[in-house]
Amino acid sequence: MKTSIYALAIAAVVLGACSKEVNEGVNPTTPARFDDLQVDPNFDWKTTQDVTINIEGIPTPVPVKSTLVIMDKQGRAIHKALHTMSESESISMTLPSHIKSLVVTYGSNEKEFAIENGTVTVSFLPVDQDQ
Amino acid sequence: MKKTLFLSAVLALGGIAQAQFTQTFESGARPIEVANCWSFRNVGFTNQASEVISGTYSSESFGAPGTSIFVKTPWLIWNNGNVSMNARLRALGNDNQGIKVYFIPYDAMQPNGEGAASGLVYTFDFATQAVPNVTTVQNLSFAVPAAVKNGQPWKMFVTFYMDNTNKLITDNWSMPAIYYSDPLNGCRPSTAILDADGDGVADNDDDFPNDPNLAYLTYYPVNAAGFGTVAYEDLWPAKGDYDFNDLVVDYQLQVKSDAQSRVRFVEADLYARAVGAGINHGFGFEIDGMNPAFISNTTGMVLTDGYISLAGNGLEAGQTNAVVIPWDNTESVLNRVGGAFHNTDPNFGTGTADTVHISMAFASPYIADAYLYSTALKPFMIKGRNRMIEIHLPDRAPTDLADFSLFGTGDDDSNPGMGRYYKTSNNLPWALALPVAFDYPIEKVDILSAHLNFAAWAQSGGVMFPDWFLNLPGYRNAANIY
Repeated sequence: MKTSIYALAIAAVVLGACSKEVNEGVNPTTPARFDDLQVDPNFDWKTTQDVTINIEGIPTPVPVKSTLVIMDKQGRAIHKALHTMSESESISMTLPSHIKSLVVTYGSNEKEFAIENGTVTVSFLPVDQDQ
Repeated sequence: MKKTLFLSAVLALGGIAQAQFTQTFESGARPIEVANCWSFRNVGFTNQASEVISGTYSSESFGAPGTSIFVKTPWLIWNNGNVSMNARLRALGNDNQGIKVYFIPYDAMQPNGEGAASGLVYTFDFATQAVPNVTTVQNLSFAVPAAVKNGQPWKMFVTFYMDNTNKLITDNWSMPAIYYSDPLNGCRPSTAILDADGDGVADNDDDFPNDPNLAYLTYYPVNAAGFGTVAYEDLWPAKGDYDFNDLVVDYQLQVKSDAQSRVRFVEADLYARAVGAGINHGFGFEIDGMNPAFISNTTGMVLTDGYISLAGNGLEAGQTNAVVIPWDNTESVLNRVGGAFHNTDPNFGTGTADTVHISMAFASPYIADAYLYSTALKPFMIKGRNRMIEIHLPDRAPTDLADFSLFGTGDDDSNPGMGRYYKTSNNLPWALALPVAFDYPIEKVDILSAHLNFAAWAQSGGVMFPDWFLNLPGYRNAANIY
């Protein structure tokens, strides 16, 4: 499987800090002062999430290649690349933490895919049904 | 400028489809064939050894008697020669069962592109075969009709007719034709696509249609009109007032890459939106892990105070990694309107700043790989224009030019040996980064009094309210935001 790392990951990680294991829900009470926050030592203060997008290739009788665009739900392009339909590909990128899904277009195909545990599985395989 | 026409599906890589187009059903998955523009009704794939004609899979009808049962090929350009296939029935029986073949021309006026089917081109009726021949493999063959060999796309329409629940199995379809469907355009016939610069990216998709070295422009944050923000407290290694407005820098990065997704240019627009500080600072960013030699030229910096040394490529000299200093004195990029602070005290007017546009050209097309992803661009503030004092995001190591002896002094609880940097003993940072333009607190107002879900976010390890910075109902106290 070809692995390409999205160049903007460089930029995206501007926002990031090193990822470490964090104990969630350290203290649910809300202090009035920043200085009184009870924060896990490994909390990275990131407002972004690292996401791996796995694109499932579909065998084709001839080479089929076009631009694959990954967007947020508002249709703003995050990633563009020439993609060969038959190739599986893994793309890593850093996204704002609050983004829960991505929209992927490939030619006339467009689908929304959920981000689940930092992974998005992109497949344009049609539903198996009679034509 | 060279003009190149290519067919999106057939010739995308310059490959010419094979003159003999085949279907052996060995994909084993009908959806794969549908994705490649085949159509099936009441026909599936079987891998039962007692049924398969050859290989692992064959096609098998499963329609009830009287139902429509068919297979349509993708659009094909047909040549001289014969269509051939293997067929047999699953079980004995010489009722009226067989195959009829038609051809369908392309008609752009039809919603599905299919014109009226031709007259019957070929039929094979198992009823005419002697029992038990119906269960043995029959070799079907017929010539492509002259009308179909007109250089225009046609589908072959293969219908199965069954008078009982027997199944008709086929395999090894071979057609003197080339594939001419475009799976990426609703399975319409392939069309010529303009690619003015010949880089393989269609002009419609190419952000630089006349530049063969560039194809795509992408932004971070993901909105071409939007900016992200880095916000600092500037008293490090001492704690501050946590209004996170001592230096507020908006940024937008633009990455220009070629058709092979190799980075050619990275450009950055940087804007000092607020300075709630009594002293002037500088601002820089490091690309951790990137050899400075990868960059051929860097332009756009505003350097006025003479304490930054540049290498020939515009990066800061004396650094192991690529480091850019967009400005060495924030004052030189501000357009103040009065007051001790800039855009943090609502009692004074709102000033502006000059947008600093940094352009970095890569010495050669750069493949952003895993090592680059595992590292990062690291923005930092140069406190008081003292090049040895850097303030970074939490757990980000400083550059080579920082004074490491300051770690562990004052309120700083860094432990470089453990990869811990720029955190207090209770794990608080001196800088925050956001993927949106940050609505920062007014002067001297604790961020917790402005962004009401920040504390829950921080204390939950980022699990709760990951969108704390958005302007949503109940998320903020607008009176405390500049």
